Amino acid sequence: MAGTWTLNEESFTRLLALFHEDREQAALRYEALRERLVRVFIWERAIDAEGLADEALTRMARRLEEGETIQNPAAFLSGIARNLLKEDRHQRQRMEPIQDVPAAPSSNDVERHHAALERCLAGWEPEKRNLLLTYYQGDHGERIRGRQRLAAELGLELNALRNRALRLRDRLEDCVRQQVARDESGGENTRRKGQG
Amino acid sequence: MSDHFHQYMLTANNDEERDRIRERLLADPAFCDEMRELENEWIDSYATGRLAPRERELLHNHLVNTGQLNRVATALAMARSRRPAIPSIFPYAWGIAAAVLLCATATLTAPKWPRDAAVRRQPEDLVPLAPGTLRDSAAVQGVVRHAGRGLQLQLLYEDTSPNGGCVVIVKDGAGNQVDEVRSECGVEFHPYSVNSQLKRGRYSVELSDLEKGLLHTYLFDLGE
Repeated sequence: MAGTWTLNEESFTRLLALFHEDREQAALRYEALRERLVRVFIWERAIDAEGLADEALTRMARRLEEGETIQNPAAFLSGIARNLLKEDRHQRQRMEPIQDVPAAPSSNDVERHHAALERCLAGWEPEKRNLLLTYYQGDHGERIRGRQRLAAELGLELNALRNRALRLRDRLEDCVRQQVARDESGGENTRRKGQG
Repeated sequence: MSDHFHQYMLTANNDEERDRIRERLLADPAFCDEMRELENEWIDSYATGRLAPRERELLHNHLVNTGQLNRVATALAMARSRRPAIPSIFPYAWGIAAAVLLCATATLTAPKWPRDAAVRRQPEDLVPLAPGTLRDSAAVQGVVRHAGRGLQLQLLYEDTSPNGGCVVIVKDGAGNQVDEVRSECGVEFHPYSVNSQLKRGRYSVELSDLEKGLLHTYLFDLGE
């Protein structure tokens, strides 16, 4: 990792300046890039995607402080990510026991997720719920036509609609994950009380 | 299905190709969104049984390796939430859409079958099922996989609900009944456990409503 070097305010400001001269715009771009970096690490099967994303950005800040000129932040980060992934895989090979491959979800899993999803959606504004469910409605051709209609109704470009739907789906999946975890820990507590 | 997602996630690329795609994912927000949307589409197709066995195996491994397998259950739940009400031919089940899970578990008997389920419990044993008379003409999702020392068959489909008891009959290729399970069927998922010893070969699963008679017949192969 980056040794004893730590990110300070000055080096972080220098890092932000790489993305835009306006600090607010730079912060937005930094966050968006970090989000994509996390996604890349998930897709590349990293053990701790969030941690690696922060480590990659810290390494880039350090290189800037050391005087490196970075013309293309994405390409530079991609190189850092490649090195981090090599380290990550090496570590995983040493740590990982042979594991059974998990099966597809059971009917009980789906039931639990469906109940959680309905609870999550119940707290949403109707237009957001409608956007999400309509966006992912139907098979391939039907979906495309439905999305074109939805974009026209909302006065959005298809890319903007997609971005909005992706964020809503992320939000819903996070909510469902938390609800299911809460249900499971609640059930576990009930079982423990029953045994006690 | 073949797209950027298939190329990057589901295919063995060389390092140069992966570097090129990774760099583009970081540099181009629209491309990253496109990739995420494609991943969602693949997950939705997997959850609703619209992938071919090979594709399903690739995606299953991708989801296991990236810690996202729980997204399949959420995708299925989403599919149920956005499903429009389907008028039923059963007057007492008007407007109800139902999901039924058939699950048959059998002890392993064939000597050539892999004994170590912990090693071979992969979806490479997925077998495509020929649907019978599925009312909504959607493809039926079928999974055959190792479970412990046994073999598990799951059929998952959506249908309008027969409101009452169901009987599931498993027959071998010669038409001999090898198992029968009676259980409630209706608007929710119901597991069916069949404790027969299934060998390789062709089987049929008949789902009947106790009052209305045979609803569907599904065929499946337990092959190599």
